Amino acid sequence: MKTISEINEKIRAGSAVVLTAEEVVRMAREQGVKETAKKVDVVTTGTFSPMCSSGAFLNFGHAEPLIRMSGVKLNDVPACAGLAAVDCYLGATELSETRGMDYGGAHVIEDLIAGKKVHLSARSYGTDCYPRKSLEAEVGLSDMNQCFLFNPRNAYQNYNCSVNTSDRIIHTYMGTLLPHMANATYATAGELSPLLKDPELRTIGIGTRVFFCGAQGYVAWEGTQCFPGYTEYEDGVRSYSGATLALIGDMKKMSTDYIRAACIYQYGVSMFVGVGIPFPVLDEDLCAQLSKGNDELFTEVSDYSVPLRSRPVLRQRVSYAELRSGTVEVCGKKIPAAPMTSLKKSRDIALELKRQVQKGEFLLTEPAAKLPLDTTKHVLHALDDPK
Amino acid sequence: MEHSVKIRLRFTPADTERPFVHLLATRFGLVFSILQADISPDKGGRMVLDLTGEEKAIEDALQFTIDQGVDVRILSRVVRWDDKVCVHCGSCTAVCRTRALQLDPETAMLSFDNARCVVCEMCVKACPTGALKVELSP
Ligand code: SF4
Ligand code: SF4
Repeated sequence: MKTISEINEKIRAGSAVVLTAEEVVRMAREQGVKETAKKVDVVTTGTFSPMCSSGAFLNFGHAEPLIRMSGVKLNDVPACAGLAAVDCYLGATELSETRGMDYGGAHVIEDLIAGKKVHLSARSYGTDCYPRKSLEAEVGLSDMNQCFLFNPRNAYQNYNCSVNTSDRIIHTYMGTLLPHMANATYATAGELSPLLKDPELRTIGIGTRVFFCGAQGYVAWEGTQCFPGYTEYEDGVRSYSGATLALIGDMKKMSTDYIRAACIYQYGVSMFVGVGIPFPVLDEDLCAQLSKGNDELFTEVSDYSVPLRSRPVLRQRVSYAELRSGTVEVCGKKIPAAPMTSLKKSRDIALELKRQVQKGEFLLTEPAAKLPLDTTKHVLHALDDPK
Repeated sequence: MEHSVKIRLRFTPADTERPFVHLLATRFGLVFSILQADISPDKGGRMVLDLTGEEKAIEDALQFTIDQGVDVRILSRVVRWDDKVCVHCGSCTAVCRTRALQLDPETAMLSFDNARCVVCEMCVKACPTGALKVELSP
């Protein structure tokens, strides 16, 4: 048994043993979980995947004469300005009014983080205290006050593998799915994926410090649609899924090495978000979870040609090892499987986080509050629902 | 100087009865590789070839093809991969049926083998970062 503060002491002293999730899987296989739990203090994870539920709060500072912005566009991408005078929230998936699906909020965010200036155009109805009615400016991150990403839903614990059984090609947020199940796509970094490694959220909660697009960010809240749960297979093995995180972090400290805009064909704009979480190896139980490899982590295969709330599941259990092999068997057919999550970048993040923890630049945190494990899932009832 | 060109041939069922590709290879001293072939004697079909050789020989071979009444198109468009823009997500590999685009199992990095590419351009749409583009070949 170790505590987080003991581990932090070791990190400060430069003596903590830090492994990436891939490395700890190998070590536990060679030396056993018991030995591994004794030797290792911290395990770092990483993921780099399109995460639509992302966006940025920006504060422009005040102009002279003053303006209370009611309509804001950045490079022709509308932002939500229904906040105080010079605050806005720019959603990653918002599309440009002039370039459509080729450019959106995510691209503005990437351009800003890359150090570029973007064109701000603001409108107002004018008030006694804020008389100005329009404003045009070129703004970059260094010209603005606080700029932080606040992503309501990131780091999905697990995600299904998608196929298309119909006879036409479909373009989805899971990529291009060829007809007659000619391909499959999946979107989790497997054994490197943060929330698969502490599936019951024992060590992660509100206030947990995380690697967030190159900066040190924090878990702000449970993510939207966070419904932690698991499926238990016949042999007693559990597959966890459903947890998500709301993350917050300073854009001025981020790097485009770890965050990038994405255009998903005929679907829209999304954002590749790089997240890494360091886990303290508190005890053998946690170490056993942290050491689970791709062959012990599972997802299901769903048919994306059926655009319903619950899509048909064509295979209940497929391991990340099988998906990673590049071929997956579905309904007796062997089909090519391709990722949407960059394993290369996920690995880079876990390695960079390892380096930062080893150097004492990144300390672990005791969560300020636990994330709820008993959330209730609601669905939306439209007025035209059949009774 | 050696040149390389990709061509797409379309055969009618009658064309398939002649040893056309054999003639093309032996007569003009070209090195060729078949990138894609989907032909049956009753339906005809299509074939994508990469021809390498002297410019004059390639021109003659193309003229020969036209004279033989085989439908030919030069695939002058090429796919370019910008590894500085690429994030190695692998989305493009989902649609690349020739496996010109592949993720290395060890390094998890994308590789692009232009020789295998049949310029179907599926990957260009599937790439979320714009790392794959079509260009006119020089
Ligand atoms: S165009 Fe793209 S998808 Fe088509 S063969 Fe070439 S690399 Fe593969
Ligand atoms: S889809 Fe684009 S970014 Fe992703 S691996 Fe292929 S070329 Fe690279």
